[in-house]
Amino acid sequence: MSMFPIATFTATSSAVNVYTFSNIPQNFTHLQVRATLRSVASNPVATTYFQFTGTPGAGYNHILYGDGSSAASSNAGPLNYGSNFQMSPGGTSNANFWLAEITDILDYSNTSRNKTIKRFGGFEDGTRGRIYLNSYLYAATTAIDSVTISTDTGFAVGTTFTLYGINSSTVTGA
Amino acid sequence: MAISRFAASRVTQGLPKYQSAWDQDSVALGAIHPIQTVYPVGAAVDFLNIPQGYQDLMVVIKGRDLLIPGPNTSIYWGFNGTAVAGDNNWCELYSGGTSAASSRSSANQLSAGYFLGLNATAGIFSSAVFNIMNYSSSTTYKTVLMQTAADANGSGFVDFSVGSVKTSTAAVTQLNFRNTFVAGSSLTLYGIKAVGQ
Repeated sequence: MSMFPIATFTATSSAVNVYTFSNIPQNFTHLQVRATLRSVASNPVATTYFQFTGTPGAGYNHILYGDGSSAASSNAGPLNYGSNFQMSPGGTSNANFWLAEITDILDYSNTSRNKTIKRFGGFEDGTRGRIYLNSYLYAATTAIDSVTISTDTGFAVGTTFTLYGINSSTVTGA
Repeated sequence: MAISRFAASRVTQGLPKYQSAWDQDSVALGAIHPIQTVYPVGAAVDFLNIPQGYQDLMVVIKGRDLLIPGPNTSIYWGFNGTAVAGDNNWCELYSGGTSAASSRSSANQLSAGYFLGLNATAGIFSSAVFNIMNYSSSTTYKTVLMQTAADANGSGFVDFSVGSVKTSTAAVTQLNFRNTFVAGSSLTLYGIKAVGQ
């Protein structure tokens, strides 16, 4: 397995609250997005959204998470706004702490299967913490050629997303 | 930048947003570069003088602790040789096979999930993957994602954790693992490149 960087976005203005990786090359096996993120929304914990090519209204979300006092699980759907949940540091969380998230989009270019997306991430700002594992069903056989990431109000300056393509081995298929 | 490999597929398929398609180091190796592997024998492990040319770091660990009693302990670690009380915070989500739970703690070092200890069944090793995001930034506190698995053949734990270190915003140049790792353990440090690195 080899992983290649495709594109990187870094927020330089908090007036921006949405970014789209578009025209994603279709010649990889999987995609991964690695994010360091913070929202400027006026609450301590903000929502981050991941949407994919024409996000179908039938998408479903399952999440297992912890906040330091209890573990919980929930599900929601059908969703019109892709994979979304309130787990990111907002503008009133302690300064300079960031969400870290790794999102895997497997078999993204397949045109005969639905896609399952996995998001793993969390933040800890010394007062509050969130840790989560999320599964999102992209209920369409459309190849994913765009990934849109958004948050409430705006991304904090310095927010970074990097999109990677992952190849399988031509020898072993791994 | 030496040109030592240029596959025909790069011409026909292309990587339209990739700026270094001629760079053998970036293209042939991809984004994940092994930096160092350590095979400790009854010792702690320090990764020192970590190169600053990557976006993130990843550490893959196989091992168990030689000295801490009990079937389970944790991986104790930190950045840059510092150990300030209360400055390392973490939030975890874990299960021992019956129900899931979550907790938050702070200490003078990070504590990652579950790791097999002195009294665990012989011959079984724990596994762990840590991601240290945006490690070379000199203006932000660093966030780390930690996954550990410690299965003792009849009992065990799986743990997902997030940690942050507010000791300073300095770039991470050292990773300091405090456990006494038993022979047979290994720790491999990788650098993960972004576009243009």
